[in-house]
Amino acid sequence: MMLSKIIKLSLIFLAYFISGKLGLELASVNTFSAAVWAPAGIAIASLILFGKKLWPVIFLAAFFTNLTTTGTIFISLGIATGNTLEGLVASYLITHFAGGRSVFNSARGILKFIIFAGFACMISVTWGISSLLLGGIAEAKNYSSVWTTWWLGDISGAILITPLILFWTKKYQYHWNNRRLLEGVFLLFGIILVSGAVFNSIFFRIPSYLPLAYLCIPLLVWSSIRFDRRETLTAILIMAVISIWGTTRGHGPYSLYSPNESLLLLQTFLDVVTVMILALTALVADRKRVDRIFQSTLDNMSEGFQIIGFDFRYLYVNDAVAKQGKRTQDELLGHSMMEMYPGIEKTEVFKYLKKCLLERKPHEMDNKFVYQDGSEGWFRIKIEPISEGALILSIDITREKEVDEMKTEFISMASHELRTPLSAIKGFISMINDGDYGKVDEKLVRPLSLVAVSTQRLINIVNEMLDVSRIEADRVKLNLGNFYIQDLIEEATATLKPLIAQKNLQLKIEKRERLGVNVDKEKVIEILNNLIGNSLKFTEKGSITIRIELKKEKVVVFVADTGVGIEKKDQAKLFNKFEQIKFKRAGNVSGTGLGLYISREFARKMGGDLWIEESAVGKGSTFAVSLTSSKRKINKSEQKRK
Amino acid sequence: METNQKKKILLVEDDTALSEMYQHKFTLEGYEIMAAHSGGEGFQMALAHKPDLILLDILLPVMDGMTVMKKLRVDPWGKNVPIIMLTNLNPDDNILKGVVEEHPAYYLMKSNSEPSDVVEKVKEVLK
Repeated sequence: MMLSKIIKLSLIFLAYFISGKLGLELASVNTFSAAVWAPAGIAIASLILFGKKLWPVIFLAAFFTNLTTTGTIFISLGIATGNTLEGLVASYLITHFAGGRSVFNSARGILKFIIFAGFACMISVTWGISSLLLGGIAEAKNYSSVWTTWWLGDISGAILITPLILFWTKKYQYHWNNRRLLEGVFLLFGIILVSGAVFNSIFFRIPSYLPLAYLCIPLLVWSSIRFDRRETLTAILIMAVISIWGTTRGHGPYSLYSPNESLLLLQTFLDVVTVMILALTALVADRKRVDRIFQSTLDNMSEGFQIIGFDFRYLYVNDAVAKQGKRTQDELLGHSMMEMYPGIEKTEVFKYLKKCLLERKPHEMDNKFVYQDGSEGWFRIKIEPISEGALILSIDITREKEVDEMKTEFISMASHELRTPLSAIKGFISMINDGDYGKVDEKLVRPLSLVAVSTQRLINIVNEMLDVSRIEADRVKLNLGNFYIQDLIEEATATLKPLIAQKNLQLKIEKRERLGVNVDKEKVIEILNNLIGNSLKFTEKGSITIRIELKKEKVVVFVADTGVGIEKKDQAKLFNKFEQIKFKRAGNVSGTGLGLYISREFARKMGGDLWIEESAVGKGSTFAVSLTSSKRKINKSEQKRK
Repeated sequence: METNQKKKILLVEDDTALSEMYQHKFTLEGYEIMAAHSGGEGFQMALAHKPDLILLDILLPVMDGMTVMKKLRVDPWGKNVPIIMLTNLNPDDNILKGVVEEHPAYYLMKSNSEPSDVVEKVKEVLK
């Protein structure tokens, strides 16, 4: 642990010292005023990475670099103090106000870095030159040119070296393969060739007066798009080394001026290119990050997500689509659906996809899919039009369908099992009452009729439970036909008439012309039985009135009674499953509380509705059911149809 | 009653109570009634005794009612015999799909029909 720390500190010391000595080698206006000052970047990056406690290493490295150049302790101490302050101020501002290590991840961060580093370099430069003046090495008349050279050298070092170190020490996410390696070699070769030719006249000679420095930019843009920021910054570093070397040798477009001016111009060029490329790499990295997030989100979704082009080619498929279709993503991408799944054009999904692509209409459906191996699966498919074609979302509901099927089969079997003994009880009682087993003892008549009523109640409960399970599984099947509503009312009231008479109630059916309805006869009789049965249950005196009206395309049947009525607050609850409103005046009334719910669902399924028309406590209620009107004349065979 | 005396009815019903109940009712109504308690037995009795009408339950041991009906419908005699399906399954249950369309037959819900209703239906069919 200790050893690795010593090695780390030594490496920082050496990197600072060596790059500092190289920089001072290039100083021309003043021994200490380097046009390229890489140590600035090393100091800022090291202090960002390892914290301000590292400052003594920077201070010592800066001190020895200067001492070995001038041999003056006082001046070296002064300059080293300025260099250390520069690193500390810049790293403090960047860490606290620009995201620290992530400073180069956005254009905003890059701008902040330039401002903070530029400000910190001013401190260092002013402090350093003041030390030189006090030590008598620099002259006051050269102050301005020395200051500019020194500051430009420092800021250039900061701009190029700080990101380089930060990205080289960051967790590396780029995946290399042979193709990428080859591309990388080409890029490296290109950078060396172009910058060598443009700035150093190696490989082939380009006249210095031709301003061709920009030729390097396309290569750096290529690197930014195809590679990680680490590779791109290294490419800039290689270009910087070759160009500085060439310019000091008097080659390249910036060598036409004095050595110092040449280096300053080159440095400005390198700074602008670095900042521009840094901003581009930040954008590219951000785009790649967003792509990665979407890719991993889409691939981790259990729902299938695919984009199909107007030519039925797979433009995008996530992992789930590939799995659902028993193919790989690579197999599907770019290929047409017909090529991948022969015969798919005959499927429902394809039909709606085509419709969506042509007419831009969305569609949702449950679809059975048969695989090439013969196995089957159920999918809930959602097709949406998008600018590239169509988006298809598919959710595997095979298990859901199986469970649903099992549940329905179970309820069906269970109800069958319950109905069988109930049928026997009901049948035997009816036969006993009919005298099929001899004359019934007077004392048994009442108990037997109670058993019959209770048995019928049990049968009704089983039937209602079964109806609810059918409604919820969306398995209600309609057997539509044309009937006269009057006939259906007649049939529904036939069984209830004796009970109505028993309670001394009046049943009034308002007369009017015969009206045809297109309905499922059994369901309408069940609805009417329920409404009239409810009136009968909750009415102690008065009447039950049935009225028919023709409203637009609907035939509306009103069932009105003079019963207990329903309080306003209870009216909405009536259609809830298992809802039984307590009626004081009606006493204890039997029922599952499913009747109105089932009736309304059946009415809606047939294209109509069911509602409370009006109700007042103590005065009675009126319920209404609307049914689809049939304009066709109804023939006799239809009327008889069961 | 006179006209019904010679009519033979085959009842295929595995529930003992229901079987006994229908047998009693139809005997009282003057029919000759035979009872089978499984699909297999029902099919064999049908071919052996050639009844005028068959009351057929659907959920039966050995061979279900639908299979019995399908097998009867390919027999030269069986293709025309009136069959009343007596069951407690709902008309839209999967098992009943196509009863009416593919194999013309009548259908009665046991829990919704009293024995006298079944007798009425038989009379209507045999008319």
